Amino acid sequence: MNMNKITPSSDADVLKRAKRREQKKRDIRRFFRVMFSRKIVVVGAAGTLFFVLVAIFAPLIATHDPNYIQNGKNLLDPSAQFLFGTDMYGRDLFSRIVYGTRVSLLTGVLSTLLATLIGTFLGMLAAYLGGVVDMVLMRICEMMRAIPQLVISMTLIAAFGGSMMSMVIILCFGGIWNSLRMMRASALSVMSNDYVLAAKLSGEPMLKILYKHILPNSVSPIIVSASQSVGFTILMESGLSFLGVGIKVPTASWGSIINEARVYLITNPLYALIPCACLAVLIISLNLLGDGIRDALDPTLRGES
Amino acid sequence: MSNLVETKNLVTTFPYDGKKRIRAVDGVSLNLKQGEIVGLVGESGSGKSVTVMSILQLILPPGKISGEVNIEGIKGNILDYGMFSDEVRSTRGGKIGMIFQEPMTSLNPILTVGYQIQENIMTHLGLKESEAKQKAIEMMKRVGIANAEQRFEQYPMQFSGGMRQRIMIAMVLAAKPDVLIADEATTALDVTTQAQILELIRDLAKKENVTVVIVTHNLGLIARYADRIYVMYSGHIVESGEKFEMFERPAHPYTRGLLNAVPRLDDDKTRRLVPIEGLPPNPANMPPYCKFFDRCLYREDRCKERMCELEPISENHFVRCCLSVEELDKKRDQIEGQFKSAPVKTISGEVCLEVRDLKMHFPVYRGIMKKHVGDVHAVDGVSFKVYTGETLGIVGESGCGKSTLAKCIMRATKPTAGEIIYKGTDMALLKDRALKPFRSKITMIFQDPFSSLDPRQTAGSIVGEPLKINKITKTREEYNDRVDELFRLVGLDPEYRSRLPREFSGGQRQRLGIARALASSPDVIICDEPVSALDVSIQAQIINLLEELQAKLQITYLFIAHDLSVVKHISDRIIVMYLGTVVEESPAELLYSNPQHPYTKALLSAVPISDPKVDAQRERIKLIGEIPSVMARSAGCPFCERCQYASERCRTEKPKLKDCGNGQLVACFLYD
Ligand SMILES: Nc1ncnc2c1ncn2[C@@H]1O[C@H](COP(=O)(O)OP(=O)(O)O)[C@@H](O)[C@H]1O
Ligand code: SF4
Ligand code: SF4
Ligand SMILES: [Mg+2]
Repeated sequence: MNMNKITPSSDADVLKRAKRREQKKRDIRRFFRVMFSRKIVVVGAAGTLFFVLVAIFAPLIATHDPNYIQNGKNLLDPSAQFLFGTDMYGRDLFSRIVYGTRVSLLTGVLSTLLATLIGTFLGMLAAYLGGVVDMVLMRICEMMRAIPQLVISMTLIAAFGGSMMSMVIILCFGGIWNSLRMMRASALSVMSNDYVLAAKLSGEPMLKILYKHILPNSVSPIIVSASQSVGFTILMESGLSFLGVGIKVPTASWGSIINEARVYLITNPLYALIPCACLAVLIISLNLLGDGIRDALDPTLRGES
Repeated sequence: MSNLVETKNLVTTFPYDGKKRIRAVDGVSLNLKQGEIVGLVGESGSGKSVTVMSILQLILPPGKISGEVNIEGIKGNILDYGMFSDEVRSTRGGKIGMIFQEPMTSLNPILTVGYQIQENIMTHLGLKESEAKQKAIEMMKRVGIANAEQRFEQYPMQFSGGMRQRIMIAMVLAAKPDVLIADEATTALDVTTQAQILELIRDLAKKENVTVVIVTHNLGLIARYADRIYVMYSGHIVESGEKFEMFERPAHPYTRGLLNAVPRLDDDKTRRLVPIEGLPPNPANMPPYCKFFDRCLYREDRCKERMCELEPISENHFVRCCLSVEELDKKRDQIEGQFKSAPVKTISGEVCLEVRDLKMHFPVYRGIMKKHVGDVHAVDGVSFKVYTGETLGIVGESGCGKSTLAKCIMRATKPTAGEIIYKGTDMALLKDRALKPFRSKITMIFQDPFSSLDPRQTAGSIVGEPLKINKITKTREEYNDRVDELFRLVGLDPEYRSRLPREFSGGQRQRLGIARALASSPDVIICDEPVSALDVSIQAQIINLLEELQAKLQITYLFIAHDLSVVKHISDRIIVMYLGTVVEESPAELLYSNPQHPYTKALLSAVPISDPKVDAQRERIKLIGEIPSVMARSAGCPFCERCQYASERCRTEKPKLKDCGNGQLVACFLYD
């Protein structure tokens, strides 16, 4: 009990802080151990990492300018010069797919991130404030759920045009509602705990309660769902591009490449197959990784026990 | 008399942390005789439930049972038959029936209660459907369910907690068991309902010569209803014997400790509870000697030499202790001489908090159109005064508006009408901003020590939070000093500041909650059921702490609880609430010795005193029926439907609180 009068910088304090850091390290290690406890998650992580690296180092990996048209060299078969051959305009397919990774990943991750941030905030507000705010937000959620996301997105694209940034915003708009509803439910259950009431009663301002007490205790299902919806968003973007209403040409996007290639499916099957395969592998990898994150954050959600 | 059920050296283990196994039940030998009521008492985790579940072989793998269980009429050890054998199945629910704490989980919510009783009768007695139905209705009548024919068709949801427990009893008794086990069957119920249910069980058992096992942590219940008692601690039976003998001459230090730790209705003002310090040993780390050693006030070095056995000290009285009764008794005087009396506090004449005609009504909507169909009058015109340094107890059954009242005073909700005057300012209708200075002066301690602390904040930052919000400490050093001081004030080591709540026990968590409530140096602390989630030995620690803090810091408490003994012990004055109104206000001693209102009398009589001699001499007042639904309020006295003195006037006119001298106020026409 003589340790009571320690000043903040005494030895004991340093020791304590070191201990906490140690604990934190251990927690992180445990997180990853659980996350990768299933081998298949490692495969997913490797696949994801591969595409992330490709996206980052696209300029180094690409052999050509993805938008440079080689006159007269359209629809060539794979060769040493054009690894995957060339497309209908004579652009190098390999380079286009490499740059397409950037577009797909970036739109997918950015829009999911944005949607989750906004959805989380609105969901917390709905749960915390209740009443009219809650009612209005929930009505909007129901409305959004009643209209297929594709229809909403296509309408918005007609209004905003198809730059990558507007694509991100449009996809994000579709994703907000799911995380809003999840966050609201999660926050409501956290709010039934007395510690939230205690914070309210000690006069803590609303934003601080949201940030300090409600968010940390309710965010894990949101992270899980966000990690699992990145793949879906990428698919959505590709789908829109495939329909020709996605990201504007000439920017390489997997969806738009598949769109162009569909005419040549019989004559040049690789033209369509390669971007399709990339898309499939990326999405499966992302979903597997998402499963791993879910296992680590919330073991109760895991299918088998 | 022969034994109906007998266990010998029953051991039940569960895997723990990989290879190790913990012994939840560690060599329990007990026997049940025809027609007796046996109490199995101990704190939570002591192995009571596992013991009875092992007898019924309800322990699922990886749990393992060994030892011997003999049941009359079945040859040999029933554990040898395997849990799915016909013998075991005919025992379970047939020979031995069981009622659990939460009747909602034992009744299927999508089947009518009648069907479920009928079904049970058909399986166990082999009756035809029509006969079984007759029998089921008869059983429902026997357990006191009015309109049994109509209620036969209703679903569990449509019954109150007490009624569901009656249904369970009907269902279990319908199969004509020899033994009825009630595992904390009334713990979740109000005292008056609890008394009704246990009296029902006792009467039925005596009439039909059924053996009853009452499993509980409540010594009072045992004192009132059991004939013979087993006391469990950490998987061992530490003492057993006939009720009067055990309460008169408790032998084992643990039993003695329990009796010193529980508050009693007939306590006098100066009695101080003696908590059993410390916690039961971690089941993974059991000492090879007496498991009570660490907490025992009587321990000696030789206790560590061996594990002693349950040995007789008289014909029907067994104790598991290395010291003989004479040695223990000799030590007792020395030990009990050191018990302190309650700290002396000073109550000033200054009114600290006054509530005037406070009302809180919640609108009730029904249907898709959300039509406003009425109001729930949760708090309906409550007035009282609290003086600085005083403890005002508020008691009443669940749903009577205690917590709503607390929330209004805390201004967690805005009351519908009335005044809450704190040191001259009415804060009933103040806006958030204007409330802020009051927030630090009136704070709260919560019931559930688990949900009241943010699991992701360190203990230090939980306790220090109010300091930061109210900018009470200027510098970091000052802040650290104050947090350390608060930790020490509630008896926690400041070293624990960086721990997370999950690293504390229930009692320690409640201490953290108290430290947080103290942080902003409040004048008033509202304690809403602060000890009802804790075990009796820990309960005493917290009650003592609250009393010490009050004497030291001159804090005013509003102490809300449903446990009358606890409220009576800690309070100076008590108000009794019924359906949102105050029916009686009285100094604490007078409430027990001279209750006025018919409801108060019934409430007091439902609370057993943990001394069977004293308890047997008390006047019993039975309360008829249950609390009426919140929507159906009579225009007259709220208690008139259950009051045996109700007159015409009571049904039409509402009685007002009237002073009947000596500080007691009563709302009843009998005293007009
Ligand atoms: N299924 C189980 N698996 C592991 N441990 C268990 C299980 N059931 C009970 N226990 C342990 O057995 C001990 C006794 O529990 P219990 O009989 O429920 O106590 P009581 O009924 O006296 O409160 C406790 O330490 C508890 O954690
Ligand atoms: S054996 Fe010793 S430590 Fe155990 S209860 Fe008896 S006196 Fe206490
Ligand atoms: S007023 Fe009438 S009904 Fe109410 S408690 Fe008194 S006697 Fe009973
Ligand atoms: Mg139990």
